[in-house]
Amino acid sequence: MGPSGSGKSTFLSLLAGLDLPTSGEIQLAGRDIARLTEDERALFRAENIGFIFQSFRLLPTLSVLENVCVPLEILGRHEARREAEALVERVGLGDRKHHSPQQLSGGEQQRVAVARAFVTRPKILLADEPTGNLDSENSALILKLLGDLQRDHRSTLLVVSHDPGVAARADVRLRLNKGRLLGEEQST
Amino acid sequence: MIGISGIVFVDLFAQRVSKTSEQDSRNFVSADFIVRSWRDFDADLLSKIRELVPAQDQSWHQSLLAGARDANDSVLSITLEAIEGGYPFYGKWKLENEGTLRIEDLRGKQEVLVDPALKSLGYRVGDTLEIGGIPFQIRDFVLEDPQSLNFMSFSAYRIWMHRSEFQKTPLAGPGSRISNRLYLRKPGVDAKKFREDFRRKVPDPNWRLRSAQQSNAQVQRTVGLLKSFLSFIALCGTFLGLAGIFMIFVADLRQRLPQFLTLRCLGVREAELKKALLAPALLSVVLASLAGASLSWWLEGRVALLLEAKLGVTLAASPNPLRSFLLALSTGLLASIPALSTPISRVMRIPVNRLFSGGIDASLLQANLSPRALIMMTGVALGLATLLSGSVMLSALNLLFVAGLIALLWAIARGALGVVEKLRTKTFILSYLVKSMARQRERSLLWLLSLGFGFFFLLLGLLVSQSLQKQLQVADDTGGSNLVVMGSGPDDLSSLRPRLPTDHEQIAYFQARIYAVNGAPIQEKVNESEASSDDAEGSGEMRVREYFVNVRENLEVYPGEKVVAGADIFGPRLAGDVVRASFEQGFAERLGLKLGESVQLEVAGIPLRAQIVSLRSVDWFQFRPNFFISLAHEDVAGAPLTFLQLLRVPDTEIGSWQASLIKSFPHLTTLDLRRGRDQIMNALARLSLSVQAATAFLVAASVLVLLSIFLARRGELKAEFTLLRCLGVRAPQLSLFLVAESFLSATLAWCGAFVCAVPAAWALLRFGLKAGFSFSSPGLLAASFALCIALVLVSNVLLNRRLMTTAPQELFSED
Repeated sequence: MGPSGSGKSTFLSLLAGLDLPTSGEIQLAGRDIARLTEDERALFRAENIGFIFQSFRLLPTLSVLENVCVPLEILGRHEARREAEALVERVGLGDRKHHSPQQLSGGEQQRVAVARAFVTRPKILLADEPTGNLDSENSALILKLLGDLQRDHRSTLLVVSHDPGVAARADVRLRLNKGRLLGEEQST
Repeated sequence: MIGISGIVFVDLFAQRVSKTSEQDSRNFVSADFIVRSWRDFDADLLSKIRELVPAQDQSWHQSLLAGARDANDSVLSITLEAIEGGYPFYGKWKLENEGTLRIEDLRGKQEVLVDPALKSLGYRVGDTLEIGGIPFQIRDFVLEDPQSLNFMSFSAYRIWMHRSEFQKTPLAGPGSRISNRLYLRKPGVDAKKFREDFRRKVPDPNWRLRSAQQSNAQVQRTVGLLKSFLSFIALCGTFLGLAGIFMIFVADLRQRLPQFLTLRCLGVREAELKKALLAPALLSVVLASLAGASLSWWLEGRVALLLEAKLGVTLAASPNPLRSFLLALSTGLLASIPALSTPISRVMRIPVNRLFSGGIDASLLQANLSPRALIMMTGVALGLATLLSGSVMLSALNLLFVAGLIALLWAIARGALGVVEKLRTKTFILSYLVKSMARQRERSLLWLLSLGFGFFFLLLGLLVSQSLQKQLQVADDTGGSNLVVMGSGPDDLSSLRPRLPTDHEQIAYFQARIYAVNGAPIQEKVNESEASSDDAEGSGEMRVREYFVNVRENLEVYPGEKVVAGADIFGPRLAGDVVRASFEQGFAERLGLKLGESVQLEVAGIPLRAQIVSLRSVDWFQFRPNFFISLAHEDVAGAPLTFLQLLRVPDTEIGSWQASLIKSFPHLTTLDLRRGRDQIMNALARLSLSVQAATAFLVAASVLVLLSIFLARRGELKAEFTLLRCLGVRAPQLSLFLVAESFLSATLAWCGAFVCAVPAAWALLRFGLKAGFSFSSPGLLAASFALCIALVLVSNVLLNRRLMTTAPQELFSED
């Protein structure tokens, strides 16, 4: 958590290997990702990291099911469609799997994004303001879904948020300001 | 700018050629009238004509094919022009050294003016050429002949001399096949009235009359055809240019949609916003129109200079640029206003409350303004512009052709995309590409359409010119004759026989007049384009013409001939002493004749009735003597026959063969067929170059549309690539996406263009040029395919290369 400009997005970019640190190292899943090449970092992301964005970022030319399939297809998994279908059912969009993203509401689009993020069973999930564009009802639904899937998949979920309600659900809360870690709180 | 440049270029060029033809129409014949015949002008005829035109306004021309021997004993086939009188009445000689000259300056001098082509053969001023056994000195090279606009193909080198000198040679003796023409100066007289006066005095239709006014009509028709073709190209280019502009404009509107809605939300009135959007767009159109007009004004001047140098003609001075500037402006504005204001109006229809609910994305505008709607709008705008601006493109037929071509290419592109949608691949990036192309169907179609459009014309030009060249080449390579010896009687040729190669061919013919068809006076159906070549001014004048009638001794058909209907011509005479004849199919059609119908001929004053028992098709590209009418030898045993010997000798020995033949038989004429064939090949090469230059303009316009599509989708592609990279797609996979996309779309577009171009080329060759179609240059076709792929690939990669390397961290920072 932290105010605008505190470095939350930069932190996520560094963790995802989308940006490189000017100094120091980033150890993730036992590897120093700053030492990897661009292509190795891409493969690392595909295998280990799932992403959820504030504005959903679904591919508009693909259907719901195809969007969820994308991370599996990138990894060349043969059972992509079956696995993706199961997860689409899990997020409650089984009857809308052939719809295009434009035909869905904001809450539904974010559920597709959640399914896409979990479909490869990533070790780490990076969620950037996942409820920032949603109303309170949909926000609650998404947070519950994230929690359930995180537990089932035994993933580490890193969420950036301004919302104290979201923060309250986390096991560990980190506060950032002007690029510095101000403190760490553990849930009791 | 490209579209406007095309229109203005066509207009300027058409203005210049029209002006040239108006000013110099008499240059076609370099006189007001010409009386022509194969017969000699006798004193009676000359006195009758003198009653109409004074002697000083007459000029007698005689021409024939002959041989000229140089100091090294080499012999050239020449077309000799012997002239006497006030020639040239109009136009002027342009000589290499002497400036202007009148033919009377050559009276009493053994001097000739010669074809500039002789210069390249090494001849110089002062060299001697022996013509009919008399030495003549080369006085000068003719750079421009007074009949400067009379583009004719001559199978022999042209040489001009005074008629008085020609009369001293044995070539002017009895039996020579001299064409006689009397050039008349009669300025300001009505052609129809003069014709009536002439016919009252000279009713014999063998004396044919041709007028400059008719020639002008022919030029105007030719100019009209040229204008029509160029207009068609310009129209297509403008369409593509406008489609590209609108794509970019709409893409820009989509990108700035949130700004417009915010401004409206903050209280900016719709009218003000519309003005703010439309004004800079229209200003751009005005600037593009002026820039396009200036560019084409400059370019047209250069092209005119180039044409003058290449064709040896003088064109009229620069056309008035003001008219072209106004045309550019009016066409640009008329075509743009509706097409620019429509998307703006659509933007205004989007409810402002989208700022608060539902979000703003490209689909809001896309739903109302698809590429298909853009195409329709562009077409309507262009149609309106061409009709209202009264430009050179005011041809509804052209508009229809363009619309038909777009519809056809669109349908083919749809079918091709349908096939692409069914492609299955396990490679993620390729399967993503297929899905993208299928989902963005209309954008993909516009993309394919624009490319297909440009390459359709490129391939059409290529296929037609290559087929024609192949046909001539085949005729040359398949052992056809390359040297013709024209003799006056069988005795000459019998003495020649021991000297001839064994594989020579002899053809006999005589001259005859057709004066009646099925018992009624002849009424030939003449193509408009041919009308001025003879004296059928107006309608209803009887056309009695002389034809060379072929006489055959056996059933063997000539190379390139095919009997398409009927039986052979040998057999006893038919009832009523009617002989059997074989007619060339097209000639029979022109005379309105069918199998079984009859004609009446006059051979040396003796009437002969012939019935058509067979129809032949003739491949005129064989470039050998062919005939409209053939009869059996036994039916015309007493006719005054002339003989041709068709020889095939090694190309390098043609000169020595001509030399030895002329030396032994000075009364014979030899003709090197290669020269005519080479002239046609050169003309074809020039024509194909100019057509390809015009189609390059269209390809450039289609690349413009392609670039506009790439620019328009750049934002979307950037978002997709960024996300895909974030999800683990590597940069080489994204490169594969661009390469595969370029390859697939270029292949589909090229194949679509090819599928349309092949039947179009076949139809053009078959019905327009009466020639056969063949795939003659697979190398060139492959090169055009490679060009298509290269254009798409380079445009795609150049515009999107940064998308593959930019780090995707902005996914987070943008939020």
